[in-house]
Amino acid sequence: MTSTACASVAGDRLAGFLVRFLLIATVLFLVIPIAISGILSFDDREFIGPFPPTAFSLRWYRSFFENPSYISGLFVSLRLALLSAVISTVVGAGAAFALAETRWRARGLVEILFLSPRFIPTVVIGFSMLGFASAIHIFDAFTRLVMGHVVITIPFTVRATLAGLVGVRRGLSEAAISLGAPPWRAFLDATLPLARTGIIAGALMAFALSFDEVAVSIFLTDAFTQTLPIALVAEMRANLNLTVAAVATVFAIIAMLIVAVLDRVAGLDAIIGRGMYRE
Amino acid sequence: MSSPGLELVNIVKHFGSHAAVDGASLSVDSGEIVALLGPSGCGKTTTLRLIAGFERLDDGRIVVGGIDVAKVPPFRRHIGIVFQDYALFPHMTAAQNIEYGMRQHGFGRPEREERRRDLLRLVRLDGLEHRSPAALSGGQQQRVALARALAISPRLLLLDGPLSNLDAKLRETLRGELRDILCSVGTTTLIVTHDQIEAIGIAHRIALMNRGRIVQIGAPREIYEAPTTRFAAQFVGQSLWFGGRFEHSGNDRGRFVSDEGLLFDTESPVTSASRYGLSIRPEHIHVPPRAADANRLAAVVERVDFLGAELILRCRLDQGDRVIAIPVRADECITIGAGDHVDLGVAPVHCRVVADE
Repeated sequence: MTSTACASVAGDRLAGFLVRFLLIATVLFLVIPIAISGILSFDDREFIGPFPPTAFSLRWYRSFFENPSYISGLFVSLRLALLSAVISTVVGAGAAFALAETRWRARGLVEILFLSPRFIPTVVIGFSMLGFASAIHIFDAFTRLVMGHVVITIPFTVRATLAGLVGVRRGLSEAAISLGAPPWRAFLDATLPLARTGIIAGALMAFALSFDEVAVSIFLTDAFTQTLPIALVAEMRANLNLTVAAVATVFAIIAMLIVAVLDRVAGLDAIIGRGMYRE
Repeated sequence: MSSPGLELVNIVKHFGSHAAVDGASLSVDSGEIVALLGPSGCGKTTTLRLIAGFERLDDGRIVVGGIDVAKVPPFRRHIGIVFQDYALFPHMTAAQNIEYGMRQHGFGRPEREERRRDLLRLVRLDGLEHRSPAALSGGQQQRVALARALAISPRLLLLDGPLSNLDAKLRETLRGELRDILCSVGTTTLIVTHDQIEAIGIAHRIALMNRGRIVQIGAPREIYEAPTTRFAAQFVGQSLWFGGRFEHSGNDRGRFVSDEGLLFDTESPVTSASRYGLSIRPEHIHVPPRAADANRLAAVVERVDFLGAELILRCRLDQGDRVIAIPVRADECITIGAGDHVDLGVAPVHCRVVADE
């Protein structure tokens, strides 16, 4: 009796230790590469030398901000991510509301259709979108990019809105209607506020996804309209230096800002965990 | 009496080929509380949704306060609903929930606040108006839902299993409270429930529903004491059921011969049917028999369950192979034990011949 109890206590301790070890290992594995590139971005040396750097400076950040192709790329990427996120959120959230409401039998099929861009290789989407754009005589690179990015971000806005709606009982809009609210009013008062978390989460995910997208953009950019990631890839091919590390750090900071905003607006727990009002 | 508060005339609703509501008719007086009682799947929830306007009627008429609501959209019907899960808006406080309907109907702010205060006092929740629903107990949520539904001064109040989401003890106390509130408000009320205690405890009349139809309407006591069908006899309260045939002997009396060959003197059935059965409430069986108990059944006591003031005798009838549970007062049968041969007695007036359908 006592010996088995002891064994089980020892087993629990061992399991607890292993779990903690795995947790710390995972965190280190995720954080160390980013930390290294962050430190390297402040390296003062001309060449990519051994770690750690011997002297620090802001030269790579200066070179980033002085390079016109990076700066124009940054603005293209920001505009693109913003526009794609807005379009994708409006379309995706609308689709999710319709899907959640319908009792239609083909519902599952339509949902899969909306989510399908996630399962199709982005290279295929990029190439197809290029062919499609020229077939309908769209030769403006920015327009093409928006089209491509809306397609790849829609699964995320649909998913996030649907997830946000899971906790919202259908009865709520019926309750509002029985109290005298026309259906559109009931939607605005009883459904939309509760799905807000999911919609915002989807929009931020769409923005982040579009902002650092490479594979689709490679097909849709041209010499005059380049996104930041594409400009980065091109520069890296031409002359590899630590500007890449500086840009990577800028990216990481933007990503962290988005996470912070997400957490502030909705609570990360509510977004990745359970819906806000689920019981 | 003026026009009824609610009138259902042969209403029909199909889902695919299945008739969820199959020609149900019901008339509820103005100010009356009626319970629509039936097992799950009998069509009572569909009936509620048809009245509320959430489902489209296939056939028949629904008249609320003298107005045929066929062409009235649900948000103009002025029907207050307390949903089974209450459906309180989780992002609004109790006060905002209660005022929501008044806002939709264009009440001014002072009017809204005054009425909200009155309603909170009525449902005894004064002081909790700024709590969110999540911070209220189940019973409090239910009363907020009731106040919210009453706030629009509805022509009709619909309650969907109002007590079914509460635990047993709370249900007991809230049942009386709910009845008192509904009576003092005086709104025509339809309660949809599968719980006979809820129906009996709150409603003036019960409409018994089965397979999409209303099979019997009456005061709770009437339905319990004079069921007209096998369904009514077995769904409301406990009932011993014997299959068999009925033979008239004139003078509103007759004889019932059960399938196992037992003979019962009975009164005539109130409704005529092609087949009859016999229903006896267990509490009408006496051990030992009393003078008026013309019907005697020989049985062996298999087990005696002691429940305090009551004993439950589990008796196996000598004829046929069935065990029946009879409640008796503990002090009357102090000497009866397992294995004893006993005579069970039941008066003809308590042997009810009802339609077996």
